[in-house]
Amino acid sequence: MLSRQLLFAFRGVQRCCGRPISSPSSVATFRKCYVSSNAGADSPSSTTPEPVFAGRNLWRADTLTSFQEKPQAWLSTLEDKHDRKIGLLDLHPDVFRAPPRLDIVHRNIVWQQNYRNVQFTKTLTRAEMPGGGKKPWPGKRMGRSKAGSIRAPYFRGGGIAHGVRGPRTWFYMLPDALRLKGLCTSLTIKHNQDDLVIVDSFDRLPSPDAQFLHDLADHRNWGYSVLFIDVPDRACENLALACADIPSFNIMPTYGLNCYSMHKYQTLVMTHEALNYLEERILFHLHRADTLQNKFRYKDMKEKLLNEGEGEDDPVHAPFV
Amino acid sequence: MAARNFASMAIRNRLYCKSLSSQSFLRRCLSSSSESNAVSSVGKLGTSQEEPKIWEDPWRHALGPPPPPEEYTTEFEESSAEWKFVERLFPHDVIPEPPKHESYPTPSGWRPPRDPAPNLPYFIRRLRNHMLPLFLESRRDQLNLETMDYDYVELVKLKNVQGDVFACERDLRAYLESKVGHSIATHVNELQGAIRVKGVERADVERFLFEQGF
Repeated sequence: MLSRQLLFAFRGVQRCCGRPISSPSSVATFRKCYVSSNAGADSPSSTTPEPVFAGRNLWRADTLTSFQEKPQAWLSTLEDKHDRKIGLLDLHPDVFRAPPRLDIVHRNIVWQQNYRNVQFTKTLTRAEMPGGGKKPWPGKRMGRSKAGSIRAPYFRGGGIAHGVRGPRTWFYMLPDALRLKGLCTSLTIKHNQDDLVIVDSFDRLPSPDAQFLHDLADHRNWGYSVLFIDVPDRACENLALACADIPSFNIMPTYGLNCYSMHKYQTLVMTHEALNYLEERILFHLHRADTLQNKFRYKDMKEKLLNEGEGEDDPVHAPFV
Repeated sequence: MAARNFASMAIRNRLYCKSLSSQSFLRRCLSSSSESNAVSSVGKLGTSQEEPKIWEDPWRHALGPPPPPEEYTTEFEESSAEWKFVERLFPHDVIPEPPKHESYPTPSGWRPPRDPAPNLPYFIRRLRNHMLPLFLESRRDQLNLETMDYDYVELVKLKNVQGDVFACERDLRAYLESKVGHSIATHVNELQGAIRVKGVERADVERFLFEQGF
């Protein structure tokens, strides 16, 4: 099946470059054909990596097990609306064929939704309400119910008995091991369900036209919502302008990748550079010597948190929260 | 007349000496102020003009002028030849690969996984620290009405089982029952690929895994 896919890819290349290719196993001729035909059209950017067809270096991939599939993904380009494949990448099985721990993904998503919650409301008890120190009327002879204070909960305008006692936070940190497994499982799900697209670079997008990106996404059957992932947090101009007009197409840097976003957006479009970076970082943390069970204490992070917005003070404009 | 002359001479001498000494003192002060301030009373940087008289510095006269101060060059050379002694003290950031030993098992009882993997319908993957995925779990059992304490059950958990978990559980149970002699209870968590065993020591399960070649 894989060889048939390769054959299809080569046939596609043959059509575009016009030169006949004898056998699908001739990688060198394929490379030569691609490079010579598109020499003029190549944009002179140093960050665009070379299209790869050979295997990637998978660091510490387990070669002994036969129960973990070796996943692969096509490398395509955004130059044209037609999905032209320019390479085939080997993906790391620990990241893209992790065991399908849906319970861990659920925990990650619940954590993401809850750990930022802060409750600012507070209700006053009968002790905190103004007044209410004196017994309003004597207990006997009045024919009225006994009352000790006009601010008791059974009084109109009295304190609340078991009310909201804010400010309160639902902050907690999930251990590193669970967050890593959640990321790996989410990437596995995305790749396995054909929702992961790997692209050579976003600056190959020819125009800032939103309609072009729309047509491209329609043609390639990407779905309603697409998340573009790149390494730097400054996006390419064309992509930024195009995505600005389409509300369901969003761009995110690699450091913002999370389980919630991966499942919210139907398709994940990643650059080759972003893929390398993500794999390297995830594998580093999977094999790091530190423990993956961390205790997140506020006092360790307090200074960093309080100084978070230090460089963001603008002399004129108020901060946007 | 002679005595008075002599006395006066003596007085004059004394005064002359005093004046001389005062003059030399004054001269010294003037010379020191005209020159730099780094002139010590004992050892003077030597020009012939500033050499003190014998009575001003008898030590110098006896021992000779002090040796000149050692001159150190301000140039330095950076060498990274000793950096390896610092580097080997750094903690690891990534768990390293285990070294190759001549024979296995090592003195601690560790063995590497067999290459190629055994031809079984399951595979048990090592942890990231190259150890077997065996853990101990202590679960609370029933309340002991005699001692009024809870009894605890110790379980051995085997994780990272890929492939047919039930086949692994069958093989494990057969091996352990023959080794231990009594029946044992197991629980299989298929989704997580884990097997929990009650009634055995962790070392017995470890022996099973090493014999299988995982």
